[in-house]
Amino acid sequence: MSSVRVQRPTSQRAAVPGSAPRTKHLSGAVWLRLAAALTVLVAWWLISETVAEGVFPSPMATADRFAAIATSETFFAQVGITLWRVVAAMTVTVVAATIIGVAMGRIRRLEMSLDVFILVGRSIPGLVWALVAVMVVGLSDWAPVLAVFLTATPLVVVQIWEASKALDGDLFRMAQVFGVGRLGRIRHVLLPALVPSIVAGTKLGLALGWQVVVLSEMFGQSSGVGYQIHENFGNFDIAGVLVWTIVFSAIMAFIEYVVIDGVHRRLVRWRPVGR
Amino acid sequence: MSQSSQPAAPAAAPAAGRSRSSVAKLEPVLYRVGALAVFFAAWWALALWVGTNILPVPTAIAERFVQVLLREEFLVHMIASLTRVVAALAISLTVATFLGIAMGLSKSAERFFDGIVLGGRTMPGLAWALLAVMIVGVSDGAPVLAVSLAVSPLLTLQIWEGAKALDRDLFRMSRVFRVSRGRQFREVVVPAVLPSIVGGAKLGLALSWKVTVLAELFGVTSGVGYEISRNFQMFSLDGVLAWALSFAAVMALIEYGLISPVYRRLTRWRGGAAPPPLLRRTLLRRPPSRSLRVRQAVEQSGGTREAVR
Repeated sequence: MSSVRVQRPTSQRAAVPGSAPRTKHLSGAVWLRLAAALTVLVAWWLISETVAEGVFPSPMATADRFAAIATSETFFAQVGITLWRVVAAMTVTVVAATIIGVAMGRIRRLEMSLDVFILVGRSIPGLVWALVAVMVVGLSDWAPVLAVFLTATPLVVVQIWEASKALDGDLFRMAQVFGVGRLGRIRHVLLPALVPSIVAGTKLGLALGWQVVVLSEMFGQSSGVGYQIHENFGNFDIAGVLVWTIVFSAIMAFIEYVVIDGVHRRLVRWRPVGR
Repeated sequence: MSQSSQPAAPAAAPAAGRSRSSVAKLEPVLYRVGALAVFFAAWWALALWVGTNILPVPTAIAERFVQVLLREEFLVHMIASLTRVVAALAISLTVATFLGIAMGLSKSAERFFDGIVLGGRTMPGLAWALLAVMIVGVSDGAPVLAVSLAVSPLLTLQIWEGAKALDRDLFRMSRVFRVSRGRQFREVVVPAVLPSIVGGAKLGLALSWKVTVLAELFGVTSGVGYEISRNFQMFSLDGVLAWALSFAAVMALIEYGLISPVYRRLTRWRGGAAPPPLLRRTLLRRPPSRSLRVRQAVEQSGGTREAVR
């Protein structure tokens, strides 16, 4: 398998800089980080008590609000709706981007035709697509999906396109010589080699995609986390905005670093160690 | 386009083989023009099919684009937004430079701030935009605060990485030769970190104009974001696109016309060319190996520490 040239698993990228094993000074490190967390909380509390009194909620008030929101009956329904939209949109995006990326990597004429769109599309912000999707599709569930598709596809395509250009042709030819059909070649040669770049692309797309879903919920939906944020914003409820954004950011970070990285490790288990 | 200059994939080898002739050199251009033509034709057909009140035809957007560009308000709003972007970027760069260098040089500072920086990095720009508008209210300060909060962690990460890669030997040597602290900072730390500061500015610019637009959308009555929001409420898709694309174009102009050339200049010496004038005077040269570097510096100095300074 040594000729399959693929990137190293990108899960290493997730490692926190500066978190190299430092067992010798571990206690000092933990102490300093605790002090940092405490400083942030105290600073937050001081700001809420002095400069922005009555405007900015104290940490305690935010914690209260968190408890209230997390125990309300709609909490899981709202998070679930947004999660479902994110998952649907990302599925569409990743499948489409894989097909486009592989096609662009293998077929030169297609690459020449499409590269302009990908490079221009990458620089258009998600906000614009969220607004455009709401205006074109209206208030349906398809607006977030379309917005994420338009925002994230160029990013994901670039990853897969570059990886499939760097693929080794020898394996393909060997599979062909041994009579492996087209579908078999895609399943057993192409896709396994592309797994790392698909995973990297999915993570990149997700980091942007969930924000686009939330944005388009703010402008064109009457449910979901984005709608809740917008409502709290309208009511001038800073604690509510804070709680909803922090909770959903945390869920997305969990999906990115635990779920996707876990799936990735399973998928690349066949690969020899050190690749 | 860099992609077209790379060796062709095996599947496309015949196409690349033909590109010897002068006609075939036009091939990439022809494909791109053809693809654009197909794209606009498809857009046009789709617009006519779903109705131009929902999806305007390309020429309507082009017309609107020119209209927007020619109006006096364009400059007013564009300058308002640009001022906010630049102010916020300046604040973020200052904070991130000090924080990043401190974190790169001191283990304690690193441990104290890394959680805060990484936590700030995961907060989306949207959250900062909303919070800033709610705290500061409808004023110029809201977008600036939002962008500073959103961009500073990102820049700090960049500069921290740059400062960690700093050459420790050089640092120690300058200490051995009793170079003053200010001089050490100016001539050892800053040149080494400068490329990551400029690289960070590039990244920061891409994020900061988006956050600026968001904050303007929710809480300011001037700027490109405000115009986008107004057009959205009037259900004018061409207006939204015209304003957004013009701001994107101005930002691309700043990035490719200003920041990228500066970045290339600053990093050129790493590729083996002579260091830029700023670095040429300093201790920072690019010898083949680390041990040799120390020896060279000592030789150049004639063995005395006075000359190294």
